[in-house]
Amino acid sequence: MLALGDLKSRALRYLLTAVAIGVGVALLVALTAVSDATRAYVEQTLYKVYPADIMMYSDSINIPQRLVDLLQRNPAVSGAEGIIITTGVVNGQVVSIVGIPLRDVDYFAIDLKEGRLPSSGGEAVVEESLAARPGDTITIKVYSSALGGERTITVKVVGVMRSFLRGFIGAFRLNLVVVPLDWLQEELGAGPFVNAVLITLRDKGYVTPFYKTLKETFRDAQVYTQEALLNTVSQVFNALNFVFTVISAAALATAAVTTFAVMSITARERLREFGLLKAVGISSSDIVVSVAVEVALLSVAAGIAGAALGFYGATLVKQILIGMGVNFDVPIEFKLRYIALALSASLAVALAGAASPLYRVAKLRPIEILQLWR
Amino acid sequence: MAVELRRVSKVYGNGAVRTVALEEVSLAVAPGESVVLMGPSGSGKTTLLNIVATLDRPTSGEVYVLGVDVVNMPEKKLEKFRLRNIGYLFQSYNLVPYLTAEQNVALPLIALGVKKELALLKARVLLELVGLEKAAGLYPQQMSSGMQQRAAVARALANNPPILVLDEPTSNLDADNASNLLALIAAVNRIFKTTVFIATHDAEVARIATRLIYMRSGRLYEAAEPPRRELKIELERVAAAYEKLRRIDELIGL
Repeated sequence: MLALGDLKSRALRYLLTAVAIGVGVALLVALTAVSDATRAYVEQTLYKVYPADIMMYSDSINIPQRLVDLLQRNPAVSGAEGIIITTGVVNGQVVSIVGIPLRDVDYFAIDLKEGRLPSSGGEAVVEESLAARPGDTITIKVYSSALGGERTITVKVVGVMRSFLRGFIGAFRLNLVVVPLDWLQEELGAGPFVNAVLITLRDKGYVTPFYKTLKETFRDAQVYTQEALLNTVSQVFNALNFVFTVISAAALATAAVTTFAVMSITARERLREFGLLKAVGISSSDIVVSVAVEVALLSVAAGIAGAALGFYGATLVKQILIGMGVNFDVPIEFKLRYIALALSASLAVALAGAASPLYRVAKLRPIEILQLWR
Repeated sequence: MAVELRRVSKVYGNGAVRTVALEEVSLAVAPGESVVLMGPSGSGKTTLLNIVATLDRPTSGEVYVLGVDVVNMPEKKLEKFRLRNIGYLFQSYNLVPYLTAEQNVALPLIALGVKKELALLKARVLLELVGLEKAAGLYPQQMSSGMQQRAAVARALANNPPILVLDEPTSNLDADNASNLLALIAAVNRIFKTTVFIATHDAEVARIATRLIYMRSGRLYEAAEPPRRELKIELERVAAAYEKLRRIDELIGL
């Protein structure tokens, strides 16, 4: 009764406080939703691009194809693909050339935008960032110490693929040119050699021993596990989350200071009323509870509004960015966790802001309050 | 005794700013008495009243309210004691501004744990008792000062306190409203057998005193015979409401 009555009588002031808390909470939810969506999308895409448990990579094209065949026959291995990854230049633009075996082209889950996959030597699928169309011919200058300098290869574009991670982060714009492996080996004079091997194991338990064995056997090669790669991604996102957390914390701290100021002013204004209530016999705890209920109602309203505002705000920002031509098409999904996050953040902020004024109210003896206006 | 004070002193500040508000005051008040404290400002009336109402503690001496030592009682217990046993009325600002008259009156009952519906039912009868049955839904700012004081009397009576403490209850009222309020308090004192303490500057208030005490420099001087004069009190209305209240109290368990 007391809580609702006071909320009504100071509606505008409490509304503005709720807005301050709600904006802080909205920022927190929006940044969390964007971070979650981006992380999930990047991890999912990475798994598509690199669908193996272990990758072995060498700077030079010196891993024998026979090793790939041997690995395929290993009972612990469910699949092994040898590929070539190298770089070149097309019209001053750096491109990544990937040679993959035609028989296993599906394994690499190429996201075709138009055209088709290569079916014979000299055909290529290129990334949309290269602005080429099916039917175009591209000349690539390839540099390789293994080749002893520069070499020029020409490919016919038969398909265009979407950028990895839809190119929303510049670093993932690889300008890929995917060509048949045996053709690339021939063009580069690499013989039956590759410089990367993707290995999928039958059991995740084999990953560590396999990784160690490969590391010890091929000391010149770099060996990565899928897990390590995802951990690296996680570390990047953890750093990003830290920045987001600092931004959200600053907004929430501002909200807490606003709540503190409003509750201090309100508590001072209501001293007469509290004195009266205490003189009537209403206990300090009942008075504190009634004020705490006001704060809790305020924070629940601010939390729910903040969660909705944050989620729809993030979605809206995404649409605006896409509208501006920024490729930021990550799927932002609503999770119940956001409501819990918003409610706990708003409750914590409101209580942190109101704690000191509430404590002062609880400590005051009725006679001290009555003497204030005598 | 309803209230007993033994050699009670109250000193504010210390050293050069030391002020003695009460000096070795002793007083015994029997249940049902109507004690009026008169005296100039700073004579110690309000201090004495606040000590009787358990809102303040003396610097020295003993205070027994309804036979209970309230000087050494912890604050939490004192809050409960006050809620059950003492009705308090200030000279102004007696009502919570954002609650209606009936909600204000029901407040002590709700604090006591009475269900809201029953508390509001009793509040309406209490408002009837003070002649405000039509003002139940009004907010304080929609009521005159006389109506507000009457509503405050209703609230002070909500928990059937054996002691009613009133600090300058008529100082903000015109003559008619003051007379009506005094008539109401006199009727309550007579029918409810409530012990009444009033601090006042208003000589008219002495009309409802069974004991008149003058105060000066923190000391008591009791008049031999209070100038009691009959007020036109609305005994009939108060008595009728009193019967209704008893029935509601049975329902509530008060």
